[in-house]
Amino acid sequence: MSDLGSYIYAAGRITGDLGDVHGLRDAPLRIVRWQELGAIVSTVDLDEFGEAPLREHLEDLGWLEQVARDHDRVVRAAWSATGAVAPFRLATICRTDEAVQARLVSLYDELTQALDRVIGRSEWTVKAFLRTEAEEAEEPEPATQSGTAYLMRRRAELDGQRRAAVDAQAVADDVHRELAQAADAVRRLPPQDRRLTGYTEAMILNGAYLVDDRSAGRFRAAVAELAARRPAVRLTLDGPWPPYSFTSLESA
Amino acid sequence: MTTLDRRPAGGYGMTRPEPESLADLLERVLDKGVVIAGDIRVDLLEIELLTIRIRLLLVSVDKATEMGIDWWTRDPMLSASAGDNQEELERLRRRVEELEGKSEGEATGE
Repeated sequence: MSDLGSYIYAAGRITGDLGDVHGLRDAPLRIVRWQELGAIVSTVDLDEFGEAPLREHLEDLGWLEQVARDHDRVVRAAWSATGAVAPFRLATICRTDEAVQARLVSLYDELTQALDRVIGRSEWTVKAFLRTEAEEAEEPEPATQSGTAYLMRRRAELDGQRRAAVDAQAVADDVHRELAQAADAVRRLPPQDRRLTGYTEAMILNGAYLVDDRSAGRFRAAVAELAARRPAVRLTLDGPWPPYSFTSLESA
Repeated sequence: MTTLDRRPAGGYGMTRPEPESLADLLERVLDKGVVIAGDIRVDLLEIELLTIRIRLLLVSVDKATEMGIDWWTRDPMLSASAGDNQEELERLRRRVEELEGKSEGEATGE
């Protein structure tokens, strides 16, 4: 018989049941408890999730996507059932449920504090992209032009880009500051490289905002209002997410 | 809170393609949340480089090709999954070359 492990998805104050949701590889979920806390776990086969096979599988995009989506699905189910969860990082695996419980015991204070911070709240992502000058001005390019005209236009473009880069930081700070007023906690993630986003515009802000669910409408409105008031930036809003970015523990 | 829509909301000015939300998801499940050592020890930082490559791969193929990002077609680790897109890539590459030729023509005032 192969070795088995307990995969931890999240911890929370679990009172309700998780409904029909199953874990990785369709395994049933169970709750390992300590005081009012519960860790949501399922059994995984260490032939697949042991150290060596895991290292190998993590290099496989298809495998990683499937596991990430299953992980997130369980986290969201627990979130819906309880209103506050602390998601665990992908592939946190103990050998036994006793070992999982030992983690809950040692993390008890930090976990309860983290849960208090996020209860009744959701994470939203706002990204800001700086529109290119050309896009803003929308000047039609002349059909024909001399080499000098081309060079002058090119120089003006480069000057514009340089100015934009200087302004970008200030714009990002402004947008972030305004959104922070509608949020309970904020976290700025590193802007993603434009090669990663696939957009020609530069990402100047990659912000995570923890918003009270009763204020979600207000937050959405704040984003829409900012988008209307700042034509130089394009804003995207995603969410709600379980509070992934706001449940880091102090000791970690 | 159950009345809230749990699906990713549409962005302003564009609809976000599914693969991108996968990039955002990976960013979260690999980097965020409660990070503690389990009994099974795998250093996710070790795969950070790979993650970056994955994020690149998640860029829609035609966008990436437009930008000249096509390293995965030569990467043996990823070429298997890229194989299906080979024809489309080829078509797009030809189109990009065509367009580049055209804009160079404009630039020199021909």
